[in-house]
Amino acid sequence: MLSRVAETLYWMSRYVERAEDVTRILTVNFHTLLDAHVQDSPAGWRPIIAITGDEELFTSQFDEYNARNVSEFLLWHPANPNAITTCITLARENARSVREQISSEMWEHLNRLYFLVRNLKREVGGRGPYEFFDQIRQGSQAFQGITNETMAHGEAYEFIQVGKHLERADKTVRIIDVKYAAVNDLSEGPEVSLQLIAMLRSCSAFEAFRKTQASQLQAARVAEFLLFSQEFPRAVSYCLQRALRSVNLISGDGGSPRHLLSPQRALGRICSELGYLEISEVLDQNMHPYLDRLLRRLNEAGVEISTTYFNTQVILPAQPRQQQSQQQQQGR
Amino acid sequence: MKLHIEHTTIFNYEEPISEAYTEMRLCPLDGSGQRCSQFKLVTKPAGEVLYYTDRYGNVVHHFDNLQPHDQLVVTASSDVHLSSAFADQPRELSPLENFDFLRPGAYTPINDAIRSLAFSKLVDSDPTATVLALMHTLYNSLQYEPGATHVKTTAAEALELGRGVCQDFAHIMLAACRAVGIPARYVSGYLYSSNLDGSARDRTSNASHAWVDAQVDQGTWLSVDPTHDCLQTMNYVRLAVGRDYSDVPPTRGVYKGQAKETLSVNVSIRAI
Amino acid sequence: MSEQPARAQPGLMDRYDVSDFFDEMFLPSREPRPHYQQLHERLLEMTAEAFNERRGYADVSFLYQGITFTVYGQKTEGIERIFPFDLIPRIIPDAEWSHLERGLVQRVTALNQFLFDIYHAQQILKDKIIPAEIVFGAKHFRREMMGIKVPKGVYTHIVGTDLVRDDNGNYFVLEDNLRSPSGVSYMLENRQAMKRTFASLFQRYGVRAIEHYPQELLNTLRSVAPHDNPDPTVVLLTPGIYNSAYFEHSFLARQMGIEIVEGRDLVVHDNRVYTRTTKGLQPVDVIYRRIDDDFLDPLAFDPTSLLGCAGLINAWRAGNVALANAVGTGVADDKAVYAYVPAMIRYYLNEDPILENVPTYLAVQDKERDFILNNLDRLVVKSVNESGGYGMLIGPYASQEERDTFRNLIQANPRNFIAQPIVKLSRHPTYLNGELFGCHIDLRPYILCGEKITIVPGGLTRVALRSGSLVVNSSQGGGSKDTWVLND
Repeated sequence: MLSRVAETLYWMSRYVERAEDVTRILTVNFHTLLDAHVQDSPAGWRPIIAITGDEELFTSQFDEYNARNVSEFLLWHPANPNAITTCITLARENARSVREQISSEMWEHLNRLYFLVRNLKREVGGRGPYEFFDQIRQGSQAFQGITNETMAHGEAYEFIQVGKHLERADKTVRIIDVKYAAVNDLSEGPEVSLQLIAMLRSCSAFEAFRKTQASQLQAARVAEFLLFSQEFPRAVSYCLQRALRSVNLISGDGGSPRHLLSPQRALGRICSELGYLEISEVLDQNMHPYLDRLLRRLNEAGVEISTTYFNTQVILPAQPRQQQSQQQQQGR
Repeated sequence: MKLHIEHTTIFNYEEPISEAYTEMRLCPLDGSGQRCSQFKLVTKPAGEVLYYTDRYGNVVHHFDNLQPHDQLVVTASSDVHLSSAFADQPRELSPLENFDFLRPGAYTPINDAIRSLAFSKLVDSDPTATVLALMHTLYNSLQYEPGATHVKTTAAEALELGRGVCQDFAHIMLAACRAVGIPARYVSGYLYSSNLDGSARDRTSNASHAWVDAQVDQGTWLSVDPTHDCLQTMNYVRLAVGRDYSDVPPTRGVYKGQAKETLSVNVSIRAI
Repeated sequence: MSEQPARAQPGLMDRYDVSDFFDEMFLPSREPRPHYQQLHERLLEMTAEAFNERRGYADVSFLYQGITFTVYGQKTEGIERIFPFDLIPRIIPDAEWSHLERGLVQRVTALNQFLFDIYHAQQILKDKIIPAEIVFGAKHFRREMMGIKVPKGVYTHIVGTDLVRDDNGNYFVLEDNLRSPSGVSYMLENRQAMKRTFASLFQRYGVRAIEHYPQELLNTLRSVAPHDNPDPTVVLLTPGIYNSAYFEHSFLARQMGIEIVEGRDLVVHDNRVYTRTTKGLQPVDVIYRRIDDDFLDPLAFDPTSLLGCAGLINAWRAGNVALANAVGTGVADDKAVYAYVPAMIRYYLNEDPILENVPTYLAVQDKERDFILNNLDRLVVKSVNESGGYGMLIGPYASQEERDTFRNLIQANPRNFIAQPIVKLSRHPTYLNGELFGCHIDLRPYILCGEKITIVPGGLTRVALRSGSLVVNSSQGGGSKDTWVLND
């Protein structure tokens, strides 16, 4: 299919997923801070901005970490290219330009979601806009469901899946990174449990975790679950397996690793490693460096996908494919 | 006389650009009096160089550079035999040539100043005399001054300024000829000068030059150089003809990227 | 209590007035023409309510399928409109169509020869059949095209020629559209709608099929592939979703099963054209382009155009890709050039034109300009390059101020104007507000030229939906009808 179309579908999907994930993180944090009776403590809000990686940007726009400012920043602030409303708007723009590739239900749904966020009342931020968060989250989930059911599972569909899963993996890694560090700093107590529950709920993983881990809520077990589970849809390993599967469906298996394209190799390597890694190898002080590196490798996989499929640099016919590294911003 | 010409163009970009497409009109024409025995155009980054012949008979070389690059060096080298001043085979102008070479254009608007200049030199029923008179007048009344004008200056603007370079002299000459109904076309090429002794009115440094062909008879062109007040001689090497500069730029192109392009050109001509 | 007598339902045609126009359905005696008899009977049977119900089905079906065109105003959000569709078909007997078909084939043959001639030897100009200034002064004359070889010598592969009928029922050519004639998607969708809403009538009549147009178009495009490639890759080049005709581009691409691309999807390397795909660069052999010449190639034409593909013209010049329609065909769209088409037919084919032009006066010619200026109140004045009813003065209906404006415009730039007498366009029963009225119509057949000329029977009948209006274009309140060419 046309590179431009594939790229547009890929980013449409990433933006929808991004909006959903950021919404979920915000929602969970509101709840957690309520539980801890410290709704406006900077200590409670700062990690949220850390998750999305936008600390510098935030502090350039706001003086204080509190519910209102963080909500505003993450919901609709014009300086934040990853703001939820911006993500939905971009997703819808992308969808519009490739309307023939998606079903009319997908388009109508995304269009409605767009009008929802466009009409958002600005003051909603500070007062805990649960209803709004719910609508975004459900809107995104419904979009993904509609996509699954109304689109033929061909190449276009697979690019949507790759985008969704890479984005999801990225967010899960970031959540683990920030929350694990927070937990590590704390001494034993109910506070720890609260944080671990928050980590799980940020990935909608609380019940699923409970079902597999009858034992206590422990940082190592939670991190392990969110990293290595091959069954939970938001676990990093699961997401990358799915992304690899999509890429293989797009490009063919090739038979031997020598015949694979760079995205396949990049994803394949991460998947293998995640498959064999033991949680004990990445606990305590090793967690952050490991996750940092993992994040970078996810980014590189995204770059390989861009270069290979979206032809951002012209690869001439009858020329051996070279590894091209290229700057690709995450928030496009 | 046999000349060897090296024409090097260096394109520099502040940041890498990509998907660049370039066309060059640097290949000496073949015609009576002038014959190009060898022409080579080489690019760095390297790539295939293709060519076509445009509606004026000019040879246009072109190539693409798709990969990112921040510099493009193009070297054109040719061997030219000159046995006398170049002259096109006499033939009637085609309807389109007749139309195009009489019309004002973006570079050659015909305003009152040009019209009055042209008509003041008009010699009834004698196009040759008219053309020569115009050539003398321009040479004597205009100042040759690089930097006073730029690549987009029109004939009207240059005439008002009273100064310019060979491109401007040629455009004014064209506009004036057309104003009195003499079909005229722009010629781009080189003027070979064997004595670069820096004399006072040295208007050539073996760089690109521009002059004019005027139709003085059914199918006969008279080639005149208003910058030097002389007829075309054997020292003139012709590269291309057209309505005005926009038809024959030595180089033009497009590319993807925001970076600014700077150009430097070096031409060397020697007799061999 | 006595009941009020039930009022008889008004018939659709109770107040229908033929007036002194040529009516497609009715003879002056108000009797239906033979080929309209069945339709007439059917309409007599229907109440306005029943008719309206059918209209409802048709409208919904168009909306549902997204058959719209977009009107862009000041905001960037385009308003999508359904091109109004009138359910009453225009019917053409077979013999009448044969005559039109022969006339169109003759005309398009001459036009292609004309295009070849003016971009090569220009013999017709040397023989002074057409003044050179008319041709070279045409806005869309492309001197870059001089001497370029086009595949099979065909310049214009798709032509939309607009036909009108005067009050004597004679057909005239109103204009030729040789660049990117549009509307064929409506023609196809109208047929689908008619088959659904008037299925039995349609069947009883025996109407010649048109559904094969996309296949014929594809065949035509394939037939001009370079190097006689037996399996060429054909793409449709569109300016993109913001173009008002995008729906048609997308529709045709889907019907033909070809890829729809924008300029940025293409890349030229070493004089060959490729699309950028997820599997690398794929070669392209034929481009059905719906972008104006100027925007096609920033290297050859407008360097600021973002819609095109750099290097495309050089690849085409080298014979490595075919463009349909070729660059430079717009010279024949110019209404001043149109005036000479009958002369072209005589010159190239040695035949008398089967279809006549509407008499046309050229403002660029002194005597004719005087005539125009002295008769502004009786003539239709048109810009030579505008379409869609813009840049037009309809003398008898214009105000003095409007006429004065045009007087000045004509004198300032006579080359830009032509004038024609008002043609009393034929009318056709059309549904407006509960009843049928006679509305002016025209006909746009689509002529395909590849190795041979193919014309799908009929074409798009456009109707002026405002009573009394002569303007049929979509953006100015026009609509369309299905056109039924009958089997023998």
